[in-house]
Amino acid sequence: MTGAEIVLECLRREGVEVVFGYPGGANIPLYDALYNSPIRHILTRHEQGAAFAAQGYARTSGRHGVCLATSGPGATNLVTGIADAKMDGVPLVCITGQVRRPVIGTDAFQETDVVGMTLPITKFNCVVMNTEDLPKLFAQAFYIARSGRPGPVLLDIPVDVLKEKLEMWEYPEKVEVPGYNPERKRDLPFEQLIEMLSASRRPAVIVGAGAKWCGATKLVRELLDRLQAPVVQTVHGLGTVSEDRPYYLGMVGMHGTRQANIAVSHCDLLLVLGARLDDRVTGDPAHFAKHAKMVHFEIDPVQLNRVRPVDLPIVGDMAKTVEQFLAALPASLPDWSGWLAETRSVANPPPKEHVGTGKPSPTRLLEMLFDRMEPDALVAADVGQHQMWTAQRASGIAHPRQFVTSGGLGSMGFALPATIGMQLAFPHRQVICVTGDGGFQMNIQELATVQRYSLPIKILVIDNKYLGMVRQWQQLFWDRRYSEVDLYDNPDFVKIGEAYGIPGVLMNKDTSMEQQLREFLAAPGSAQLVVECPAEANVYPMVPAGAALSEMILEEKKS
Amino acid sequence: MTGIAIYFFNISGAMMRVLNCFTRRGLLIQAVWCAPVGDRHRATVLVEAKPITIEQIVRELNSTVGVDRVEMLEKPSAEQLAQRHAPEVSKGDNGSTVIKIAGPLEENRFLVEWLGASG
Repeated sequence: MTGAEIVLECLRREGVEVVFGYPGGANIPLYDALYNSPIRHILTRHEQGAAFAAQGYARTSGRHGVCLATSGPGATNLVTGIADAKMDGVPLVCITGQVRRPVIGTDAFQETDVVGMTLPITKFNCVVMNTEDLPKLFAQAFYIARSGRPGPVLLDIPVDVLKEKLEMWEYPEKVEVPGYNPERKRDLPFEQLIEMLSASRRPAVIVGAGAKWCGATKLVRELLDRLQAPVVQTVHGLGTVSEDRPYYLGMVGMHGTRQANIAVSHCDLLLVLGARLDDRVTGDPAHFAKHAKMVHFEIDPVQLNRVRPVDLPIVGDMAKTVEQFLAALPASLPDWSGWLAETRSVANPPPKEHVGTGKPSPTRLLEMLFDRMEPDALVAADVGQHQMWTAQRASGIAHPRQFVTSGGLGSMGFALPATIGMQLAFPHRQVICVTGDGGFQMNIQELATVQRYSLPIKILVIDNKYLGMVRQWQQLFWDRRYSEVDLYDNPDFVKIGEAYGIPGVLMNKDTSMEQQLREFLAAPGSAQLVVECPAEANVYPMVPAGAALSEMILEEKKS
Repeated sequence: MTGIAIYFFNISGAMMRVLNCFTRRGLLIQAVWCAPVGDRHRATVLVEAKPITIEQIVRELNSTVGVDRVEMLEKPSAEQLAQRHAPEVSKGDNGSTVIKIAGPLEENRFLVEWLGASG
């Protein structure tokens, strides 16, 4: 077998059914082997699209996402997607072609040091210098990507390794990586935790993405049902707790609900279940849960004490730690219903966007979208204002892998390719891409991929002819000095979609929202709905960067 | 000055990942000694950083693929290491290489032996 054939066989052994990529000089042998392979290859129109599509596949299915690129520019085009996967803890396996071994280091045509470049944004990467090492390295790469806190890995394979033939090879039965033991057993101080819980008068819980990646959603739900204390979720936690739970207060953080942010600000004990607690969640760390003791359930010790000291770390896989905690919980817990009622009595003001222009309101439109889409529809949001509007509306969804967005790196251009991967992971579910006019144009070429594979993705473009989130910050914190955010000369997105073979309509009046949205969702194949929104609609509530969570701006100041 | 000894398996990229934990935070690595120790490698890094940053680095190192364990050096050891400089190398009158080593011979026995030179 050639190295390329061995690579595909390794992928098959790992259960890979679909890969996303783009061919080039240094990975031709791999594409030659794919020609007869049962593994399905999806040709994107840019390597960044391949990385995001693989992420969409991984985020919704929980399986590895795999992407291929050639050396040099092909490899560098993956970089944003890799960094994005590192931030959000997504198991992404990247396979890049490299120039042949004898010319590595000579600045050969399309040579780049992608291993050096991606060292800080991968969990593991290497140049495969010996064909014999391919099986071991693939087994290690897949194991590292999915274990512990998931993340991206990259194998850079010189073209002559892909061409070299091996008579004999074996895929390892057991994987060992020296110096990597994510399943290390640790002491779990549940007695102390139960003491803290029993002494608490105002506990609150933050739920992050950890529950879903550990396969602990059911256990976390059971725990929260037992506690009956105020619960909030991060953007990536959405779907772990649904809005029908009486203790659920919504999304926390910069654009979270007032109830959620107030509960976290005033609690005396904060249980963090698998969340990184980045600055968008905490606001000013000095004021974050200032009067609370903090207990952090986390698989990756790196995430502890990052923004604020933790009083009690519970390090481990939440499928195990939460299960053990449930078993250790006493039959009777304090009654926190008074505190819960107090948090619920805080008013959550309805969105006020300063509209009234006759144009469709983005928040109302998204409200209608979530009400009318299929209950198990998968939604990806791009990055910007529409992302936060969508997250606010997705705050109550019932499935933890239903809503996908680039929350950590905040990569514009994420959503359209991500939905390609999502649709391929779940061909029979409704898949909706919510994007803005800025982000859409960053990977607009992937419309060709949607069309080529007849993917029935519904693409909703919220077009306010601005880089809206930056404009909002410039409006609120930079004296309305709108510097380089005006996209007044956007192209006609409907025509562009049609040129790619994707039918679309323009929605520019609030009177036709209902009917146009229904037709859009009912379209049998892919469809595009371009929504011309009021240019200066803002996302509220908003915690200004660096302010405490309790210092929310709730609505537009009258000017 | 803080000294940290990192024991790691010399798998692909591990050494660079170790050093990157420092450099990604904008820290200037003052000195680093790295060599095999048994079946592992040890990198001893000297760096000036706030205690909270050091704490974050140690946690990150412990989660880095390939790293076996991390040890903080006692403050006096770190300070002593910080005083250590590479020996001065020059050409002798007869064309030979002259290496000047500071300090008593006893303390530099290893280096002298390694150079194959006599005291």
